Amino acid sequence: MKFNTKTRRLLWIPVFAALVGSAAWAFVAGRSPSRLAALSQSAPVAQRAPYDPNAVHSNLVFLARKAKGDVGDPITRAMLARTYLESYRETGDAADAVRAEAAARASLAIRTRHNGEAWMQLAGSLLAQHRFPEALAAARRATPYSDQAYRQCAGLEIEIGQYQAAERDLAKSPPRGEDPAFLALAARLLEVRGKNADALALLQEAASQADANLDMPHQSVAWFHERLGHRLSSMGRLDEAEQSYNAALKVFPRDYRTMAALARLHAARNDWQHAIEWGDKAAAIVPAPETFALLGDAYAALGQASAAAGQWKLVEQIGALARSQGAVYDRQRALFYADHNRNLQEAVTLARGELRLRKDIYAHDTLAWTLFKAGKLAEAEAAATRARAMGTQDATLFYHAGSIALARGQRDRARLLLSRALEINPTFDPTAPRRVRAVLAQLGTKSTP
Amino acid sequence: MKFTPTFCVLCALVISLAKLSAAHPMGNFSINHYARFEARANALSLRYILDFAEIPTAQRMPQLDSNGDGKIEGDEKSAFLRAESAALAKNLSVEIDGKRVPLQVLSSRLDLHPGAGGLDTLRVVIEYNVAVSSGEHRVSYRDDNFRGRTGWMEVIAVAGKGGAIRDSSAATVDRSRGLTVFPADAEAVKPLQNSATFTMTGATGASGATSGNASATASGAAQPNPNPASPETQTPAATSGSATPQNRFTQAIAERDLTPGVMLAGILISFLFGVAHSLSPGHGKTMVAAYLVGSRGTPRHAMLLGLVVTITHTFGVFLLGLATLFATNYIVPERLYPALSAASGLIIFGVGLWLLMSRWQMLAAQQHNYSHSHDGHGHDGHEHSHDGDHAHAHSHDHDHSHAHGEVHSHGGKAHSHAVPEGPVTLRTLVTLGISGGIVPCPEALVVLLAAVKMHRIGYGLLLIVAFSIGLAAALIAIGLVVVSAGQRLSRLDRFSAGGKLTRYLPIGSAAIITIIGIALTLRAAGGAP
Repeated sequence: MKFNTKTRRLLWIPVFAALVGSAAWAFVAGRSPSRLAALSQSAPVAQRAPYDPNAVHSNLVFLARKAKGDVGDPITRAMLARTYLESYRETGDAADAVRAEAAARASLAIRTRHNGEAWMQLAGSLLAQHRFPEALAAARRATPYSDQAYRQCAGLEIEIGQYQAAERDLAKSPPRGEDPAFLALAARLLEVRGKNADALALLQEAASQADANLDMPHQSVAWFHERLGHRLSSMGRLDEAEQSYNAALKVFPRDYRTMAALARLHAARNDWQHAIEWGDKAAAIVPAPETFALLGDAYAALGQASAAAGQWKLVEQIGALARSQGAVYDRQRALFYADHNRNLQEAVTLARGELRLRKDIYAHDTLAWTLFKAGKLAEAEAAATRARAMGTQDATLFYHAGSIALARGQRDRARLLLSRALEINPTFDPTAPRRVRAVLAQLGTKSTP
Repeated sequence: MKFTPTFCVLCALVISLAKLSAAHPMGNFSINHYARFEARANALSLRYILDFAEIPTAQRMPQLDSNGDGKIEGDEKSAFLRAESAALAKNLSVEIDGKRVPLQVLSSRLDLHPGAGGLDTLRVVIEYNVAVSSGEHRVSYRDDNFRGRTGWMEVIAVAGKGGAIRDSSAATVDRSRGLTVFPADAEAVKPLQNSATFTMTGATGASGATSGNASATASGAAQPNPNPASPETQTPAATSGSATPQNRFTQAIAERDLTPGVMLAGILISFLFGVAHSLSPGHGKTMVAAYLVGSRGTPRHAMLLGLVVTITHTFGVFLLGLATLFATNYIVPERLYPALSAASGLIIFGVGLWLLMSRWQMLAAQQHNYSHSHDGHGHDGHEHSHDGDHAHAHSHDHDHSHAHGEVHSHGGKAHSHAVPEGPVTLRTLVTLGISGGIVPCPEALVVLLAAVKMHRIGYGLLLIVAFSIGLAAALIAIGLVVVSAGQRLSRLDRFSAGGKLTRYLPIGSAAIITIIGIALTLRAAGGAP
């Protein structure tokens, strides 16, 4: 078959078009490998590797050896600090946070300028030790080198109640592509402002982004799910919260924080056996006082007074341990004492100490609750008002404020506040909602179920 | 306020009492594990230690104090240990050639030590025997007790009498000394080993394996490192270089039963280690010798210099020990070591340089002013000066010759023409002595800290004093040998007062001291203690 010149020229058109199309497709596919994988049905879908409990430790050993081999290496020491912090987040071992601080300081001793990573790790280690002002100062030193440091500043400012400064700093570190850390911080600020639904949406997006990021450490992915679980739980959506907690444990099976959260969730359902089961699992890894307190409540609810007393005694002993080490702030212990009507003067002292260190809404709330229990109602009311000054829609804040109002004889105000607590979260506490309903019934208000 | 010595001692005591209630070094909720296998000809023993920090001890207290009276009686201890030994053994898997074997409890003990916040810490030590037949066996070990709980986890496998270990994934170096010492710096990562495998053989079939000797089994205490670890047998922990210094001296404090005989042996060992330690690099032996040679020291100077080095060294141990125990938040001993080493090096360098310069100046002045030859010449009534302190006018009308350095008299005043070495001053002796002893040795520090940890402070101090006496004896002996050798040599012509060698010896000795100072400073700057 023979083609004339004109036909041959026409035949080149589809060939050329095919070449251009192929090149364009290859370019796009090359830039976006995940999309290529999605398009190609036969390509295997990448999955997160199972959690390796020895991975962080192996990294620590490697980096420590490398650091020992080169006494003038600031980068390895900053990486060592980062890895110690990773270990701390996995194990809850405060000694790892102290070692992270030592490694970061060693890095900074070698190179103070242009060492943003070490400043950030130092800030992280100080945060883990609740040394907030020092942590913020260290994070601020890192800002010339990394806009991630602004985000760290924002996180710290939220912890100490400087919410407007946190919003400003967060704005200086806008999200880059899929950025679950940004979303989680933004959600926290929305929660403080009382925008719970918006915060939930951001946290859901953050959790799915964390799931998609296969390079993210297991405990970090689990943290996003745990955080989402907390949000759902504080809105009374316990079944969804449980799913989120289970997702966290699937990624990071030894997540003692999520285990403790599941214990609280079951306690909120008054499912005491499961609460004890999860509480025991969490305490076997990290024996935290709040977990023992919850276990004590669970045993008490089951009528096992002796077992309950044993758990509460452990909380007291940990308190003695903390006192011996000079701790003058501890909001968990302050709340435990107030909830259990014991050591009320110490509870107030602890709450005041906490407020000197951090002026966030929960520090004001803790002080309000301890003052209320200690019978200092006027001061308690002022503190409770400060706790809700940002418009935060947290059932516990309303419950505490309502209880104080009731004690001061402000029946209408109490009715309003207590009703609002149940509206926000009808399961905000294992036992308090029942009491609130009884009070509202007495006050003549029909509460939500 | 006056900072009198008494006031300072009182402050130190107050601080020490406060700090003694510090929390467990591995964190107050840690449970620390230690397993030490020792392979002998036909036996395998396992020493298993669990160290519970304050909170886990509080959690276990209801089981321990079974009658709840707040006191732990002997029968309560026995009952607890019986139950505990059996319960722990269930989660300890020892397989010989792939078959799990039972663990037979040989002995067990528990100790409660005061921790922070009025709480105790609990230490359980169980000696298990593992039945093995003679020959070669592959041993697998796994510890599933308290899984998930943070803490130190160490597995050691060493060869005992007639036994050998090879192909081992266990450590051979006991880093924590049976959970009594925990390295705290960031670059000493805690081990997290809860399993190990190794091959044990009897002595007759131990070709290619590291074998034990009689001394390895003579003591029940963990051995420092009976087999020099080959790279394949070293764990990351063992190769990290962070191991606590260990030898018979550091072990002496950890002997389980302190009978008078054991104590006496410990003191003798410490003395001998002091002697041996003074011969290891550092502690100013060369500097002592160089100074004494160059300055024509006497036996008295040798003794004084040796004593000053030793006293400074002993005080250095105590001070660094105090810093480690009571000021760890402010002073990191690992940082202090290089600083002390650098200070020592700089002081020695300064003294050496000063000696060098002053002696050189004296030599130059002598050569400048002494513008005539003494090699078989006659003096014809000129004036000359030998040095600034020694100017005199004299006239000779006789013919004689004398070598420089030789002591001679021109009219009743004896003098030498050698480079004047300057007097042996007390200040120089003390300065050099302090700089030589300022860096305390890690072994003595380990003994001190272990003594505090094990509540054997008196015995620990005794060991350190014995160690220091050994150190002093050796240094003084070296000084005396040097002085004596110098005096004997000076009788020979070559080394006589007028000899060239003798003339420049003081400058040479000053140069050696200066070089030692530079070397020590550079070594400290390089991070070596």
